[in-house]
Amino acid sequence: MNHNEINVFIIDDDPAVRDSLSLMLQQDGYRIRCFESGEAFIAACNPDLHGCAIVDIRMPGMDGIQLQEEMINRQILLPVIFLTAHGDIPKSVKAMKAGAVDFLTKPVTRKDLLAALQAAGKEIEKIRIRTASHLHAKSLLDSLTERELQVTALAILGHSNKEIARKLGISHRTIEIHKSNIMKKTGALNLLELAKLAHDAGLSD
Amino acid sequence: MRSIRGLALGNPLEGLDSRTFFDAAADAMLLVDAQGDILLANRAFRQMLGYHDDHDIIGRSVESLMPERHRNLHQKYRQQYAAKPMQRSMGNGRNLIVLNSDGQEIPVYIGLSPLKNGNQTMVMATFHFPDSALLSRKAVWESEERLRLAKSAAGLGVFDFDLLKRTALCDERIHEIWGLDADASITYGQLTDGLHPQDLPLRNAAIEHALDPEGDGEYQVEYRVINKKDKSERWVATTGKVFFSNGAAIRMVGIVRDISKQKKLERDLRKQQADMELLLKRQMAAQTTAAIAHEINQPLAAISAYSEVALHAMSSGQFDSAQLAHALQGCFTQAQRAGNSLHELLAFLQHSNTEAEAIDLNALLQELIGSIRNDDLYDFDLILELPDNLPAFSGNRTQIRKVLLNLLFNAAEAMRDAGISPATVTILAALTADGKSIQVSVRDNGPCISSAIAQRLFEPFFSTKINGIGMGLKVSRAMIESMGGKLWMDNAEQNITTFHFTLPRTQ
Repeated sequence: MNHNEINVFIIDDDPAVRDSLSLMLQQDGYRIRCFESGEAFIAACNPDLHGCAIVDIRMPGMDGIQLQEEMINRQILLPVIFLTAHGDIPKSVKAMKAGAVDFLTKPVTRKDLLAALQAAGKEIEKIRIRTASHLHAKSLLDSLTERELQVTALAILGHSNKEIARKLGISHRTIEIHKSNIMKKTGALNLLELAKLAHDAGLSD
Repeated sequence: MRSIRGLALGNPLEGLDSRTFFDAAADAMLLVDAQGDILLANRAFRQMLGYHDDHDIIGRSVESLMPERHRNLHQKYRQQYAAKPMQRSMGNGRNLIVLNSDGQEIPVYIGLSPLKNGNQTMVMATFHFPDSALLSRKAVWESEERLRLAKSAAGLGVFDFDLLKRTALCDERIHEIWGLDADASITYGQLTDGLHPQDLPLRNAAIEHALDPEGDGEYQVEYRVINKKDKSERWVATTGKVFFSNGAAIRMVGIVRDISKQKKLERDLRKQQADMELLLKRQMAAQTTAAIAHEINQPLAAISAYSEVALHAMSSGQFDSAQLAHALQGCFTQAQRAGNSLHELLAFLQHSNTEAEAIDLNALLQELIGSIRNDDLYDFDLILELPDNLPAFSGNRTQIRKVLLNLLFNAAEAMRDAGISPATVTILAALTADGKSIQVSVRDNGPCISSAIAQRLFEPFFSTKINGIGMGLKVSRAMIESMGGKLWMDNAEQNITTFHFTLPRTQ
């Protein structure tokens, strides 16, 4: 199996654990980068980074859970696999709720780790698709004028042309022209498609 | 003249009704019906107590003429009297009190006479007020009353033993605590019978001490009394004094105090402390395990991964000897690291400053028994078989105490859980055959320890108790060994379990 295209970031304070795990995953063709702390990883991170993070729960300084929170705050969209020495159930529940892919107990076997990375691979693909549709929708909506965006926002909330006209203080006829232009520019065939685009672009938030 | 007069006047009693007699009496009198309601009060009564009108008094309950604190008891006495009416003085010579119309308390002696009219029984009460000229008597009465009030407020009972006539005078409170009939007199034997059997030896020792003509005559002891009426168990503290005449004890006077509440508080507190200690122990065990887990798990995680790397390299045929060497070197280094961590951790945990001193087992045991006397678990008969000439041995006092406590409570718990009665623990001590050590044995008649359990007894975290963490025996053995001794278990005899430990005798 070749996983050349997947980056794996190992974040663990123990050098021997980092070294042995990276050897193991290199044998399976993963591209590995190691960090000795959550802080070091955050410092090296940017939103364009893609891949998967293997994070030790217990670390001096920023611990695994705090690192996960920090990544979410910074919109670093990487699936996370947690490693721990203790069956720390409350922490694992929290981590899983925050979207962790898996929670593995040390010593971890090659089999379990590879299975978790498989799951992470699927997650990475989902994130990629989400990101792509986001970028596509965003580029389509970027071509709209300020007024057209206002009309779009009201239209997808279910307001009639008449209501939109009254709210924006312009004529019913003008709204119809705006709407026709919006559909042309975005290629949306109906209001439902427009609503999905707006959602993907993050406009509805 | 006399006869004429007699003739002229006829029978002098003729025409006199009972009411006239009643009113003419110099002593204050009341007629009370079986329900305790006042039927009649004579003139003397009204005068002496300041009631102007019959209506102020007739129809009232007789208890309303007494201070509130006497009413309940009087009601009881009245019922007893109604069941067995006889002519007698009221209150068996105790000071009684009647309220005058202003509510003032007046000391009084009262005589009771039953009166039968048809099938109705009434009681005539004759009031005799102590001569007001005898002020000192009133003062005595008042001081006695004060003492009685203080006594009852403090819940004290008073006893007075005549040791020559072998009679005992005990007040109501003692009757109440022991659950004996209020009217019956108490014998010394009845008091002894009421004691909890386990506390009897201690009480007898205290009496013996007090009766010693050479001693100070002080009698002071706490014991449990089983109330004869409601079978409840009450803790009682007794303080007394023995009086001697020509070197012979003649009288013992003292007070008893019900200290059950105080004891319960103490017991609850001790239980809380025990719970806290258990919690702390568990915490410590959890923390220690977590520390060990962390120290061992990191290298194990690395070793596991390195070995899989080596295995994978060999099975896949992609044989990179440098990589293989790296992985194997990693295994070796990490295994060494784990071992070193363990040694350091154990050295840290076992490091304790324990100074050895010469221990007198007898004194140590006396002190120990005193400290556990009130413990719930101390519900067994303890027999000490210590030779008089037992030499002192060397060890750390705190640790030996801990070991003895562990063994005693293990035995107590095992016997209690198995419902063994009577539960007995025997502590024996002897010089070992070589004369170099003292061997102490703690033996119980508890349930057998099966050989399967016996094999695991000294394993850490092995426990047969619901709440046990399984460190007691392990720690006890470690402490005895650190003092140069040995600790082992012996269950060769049927239904007897003995734990032995040795400690070196002092040089």
